[in-house]
Amino acid sequence: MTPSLAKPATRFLDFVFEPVDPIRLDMLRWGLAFSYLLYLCLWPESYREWLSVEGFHYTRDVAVAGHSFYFSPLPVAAVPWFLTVFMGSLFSIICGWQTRLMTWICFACTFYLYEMEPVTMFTLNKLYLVAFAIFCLVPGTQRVMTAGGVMAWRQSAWPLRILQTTFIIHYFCAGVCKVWPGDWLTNPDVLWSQSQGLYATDAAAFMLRHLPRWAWTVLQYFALVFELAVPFLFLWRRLVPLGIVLNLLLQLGIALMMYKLIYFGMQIVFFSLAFVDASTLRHITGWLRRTVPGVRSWTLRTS
Amino acid sequence: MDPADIVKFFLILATLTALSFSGLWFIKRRSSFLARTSATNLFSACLLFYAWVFPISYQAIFDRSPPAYKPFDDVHNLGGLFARSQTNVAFHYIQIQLEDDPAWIDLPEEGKYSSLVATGYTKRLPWLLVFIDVAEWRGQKAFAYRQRDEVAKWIAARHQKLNPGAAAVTAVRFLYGWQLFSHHLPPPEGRFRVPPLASLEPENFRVLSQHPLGSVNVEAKL
Repeated sequence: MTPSLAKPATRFLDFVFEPVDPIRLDMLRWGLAFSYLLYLCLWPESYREWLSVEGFHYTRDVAVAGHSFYFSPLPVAAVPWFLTVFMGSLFSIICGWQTRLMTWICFACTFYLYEMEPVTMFTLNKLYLVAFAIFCLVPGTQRVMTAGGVMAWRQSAWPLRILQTTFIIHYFCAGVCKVWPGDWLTNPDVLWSQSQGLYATDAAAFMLRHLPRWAWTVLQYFALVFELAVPFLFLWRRLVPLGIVLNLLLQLGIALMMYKLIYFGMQIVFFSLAFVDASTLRHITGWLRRTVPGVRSWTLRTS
Repeated sequence: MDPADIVKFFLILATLTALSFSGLWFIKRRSSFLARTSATNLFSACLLFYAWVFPISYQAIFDRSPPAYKPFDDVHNLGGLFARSQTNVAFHYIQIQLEDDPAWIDLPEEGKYSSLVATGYTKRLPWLLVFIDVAEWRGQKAFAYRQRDEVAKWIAARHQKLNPGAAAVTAVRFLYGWQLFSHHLPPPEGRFRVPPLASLEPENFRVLSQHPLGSVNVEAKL
């Protein structure tokens, strides 16, 4: 490596592999397990249609293109067992019990679902799939002496960096797609039209009846500018709080206007925890442990 | 998907991971943090980089997956939803023909065939039909027909199971309908609901495919 390249490359490697406080990854795992469990609890009447031979499933000959493996649906009698293992693993992750083993089980169940029924789970499942794959391989924590002379838990930063990169690429690409090949820049009615149709809630219908046309255009450009600005908002440390608030507002707006996208929003809001300052997260979890009964004993258990 | 493509993907992934791992191992003393990273850790980081970060970045830039990553094309495609304005909302209808009655009727008690809300207010079965339409628009007409044929046979078998002794389904057809959006039209009064087929103008729906079922077809497994 030439000396001119060596320094930036070394700084990059330091950034990727530096030891960081594990709380961000712990909280992200906790948040994703929580939102995933909540999402799964939604479908109690539909589990058999979704997972078992009772619902329609393609045969191997015409399985959905783009999916590499063909997994058969479960026998009806196996559905409760599968759900017990799957939801139990998520609950265990939330409680901080056997986290590594339970993460592997959760990943295996998600992979099965993704390949067995790719249509139903859609984008939501894809992000869980990769997040739990990363959590499976997360390195262990070590107790080290920090620069301030205090003993603290530390963990290599690379899993966190991969999740942060995923968040930024996810949002930024969504913004770029809207500009090109999409028409969000040239057509002021895109959001107005997107708010109608399959996802439109009663709240969306109310807004369509009462909001003036220009208000839809303002909301549309707010969403577009936010998505395109995500790399700046989340990579510039001073702007991270603003980024988190704007992300929350955007996802709340989507949840209000688009049916059931609240679960996708929750997932994305929890993803943004990867950017929150570790000391802030320690303060928040410390306050929760002190004030909310029960939290101390079995949840928010971090390294 | 051709199993050879999957094997090729894993071979390329393993090669890239091994090369990067060797390179980083060779220069690890240049970074104090890297020097303290274990071999397993370093290998996992390289593996996840090539299995996830590289393909999603590539797909984001070039709008297609890297050549060897085709088997996992769908996993790596993150963006692109809601990118364009829409001029209408489309939905599907399923109709059946019963023995001794040539009339097409709407699938009775559709909730007994599919109650899972897959996305938005769309149930799982109509949502599957959307994906079949996409295959058809991409030129896979025969494949799309075969997919719909499987759905049709399953509906007939399910009908027989739900209504033992009743007239059997002799044919199933799938229809595609749509409603336009316009500032000149009144805004919706409430949440989205699929309008009854009878309320649509004839130019706002069409038959996608029709599937006659012989007695053998009806014996499709449940």
